Amino acid sequence: MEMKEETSAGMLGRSKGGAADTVSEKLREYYVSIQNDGIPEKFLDLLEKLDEAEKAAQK
Amino acid sequence: MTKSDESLSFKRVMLEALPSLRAFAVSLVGQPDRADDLVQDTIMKAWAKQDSFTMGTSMKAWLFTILRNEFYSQMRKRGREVSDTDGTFTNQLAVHPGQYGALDLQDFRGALNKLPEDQREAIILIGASGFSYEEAANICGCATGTIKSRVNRARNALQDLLSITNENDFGPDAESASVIHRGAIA
Repeated sequence: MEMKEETSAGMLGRSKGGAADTVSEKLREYYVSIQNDGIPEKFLDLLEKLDEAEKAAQK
Repeated sequence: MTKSDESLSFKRVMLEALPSLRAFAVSLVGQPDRADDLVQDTIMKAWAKQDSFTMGTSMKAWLFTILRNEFYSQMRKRGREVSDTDGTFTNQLAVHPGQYGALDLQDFRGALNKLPEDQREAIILIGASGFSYEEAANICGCATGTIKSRVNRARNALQDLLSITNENDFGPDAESASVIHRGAIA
């Protein structure tokens, strides 16, 4: 009986905070998964080109 | 500091911010290809106006602001086409509201794409990019309170869309919904 009371109190706690936590966790997980893709090669090339163009213009 | 040192360090600081900038773009736009185009446009815009960046301030916030402005300006040019991107995911989502355990990132992306853009960007900036309410408000050009209420609305909407509720943890729904889901996409 004690056990059951404890569980339902825990459930009440989860019903609000738990749902919000799951949304936040999923969002972070999703974001981090994209972030971990790293920087696509084309962006590195682009920055390299922009840099070179600028240096050439200064000479 | 010579001009070339400045640009070297500008480039380096920009590179550091790119993974996060791209994650912002992909989660905001919902389509990796379109998002990468947006990042590319942002890099070029940022490069062209690097004199307006103050070294020592947040490169990340500066780039996010440029990307965000570019996103909305492209969206205005293209009309409402952007909102149409969630079609396939939306259909999947509609049929299995109770799939708590099997909630994967694809589902999450679909739900995120269904939010209005202003709510979507607010919850990404606060919940994932690590900005404060004040920084997010600066990036979006609105009041801090506006960001707070958008984040709240976004969080509630996502919970509804994903039906992450207590009942679904214990009810028979999770299983039957996934069966319905499988049937619907088959």
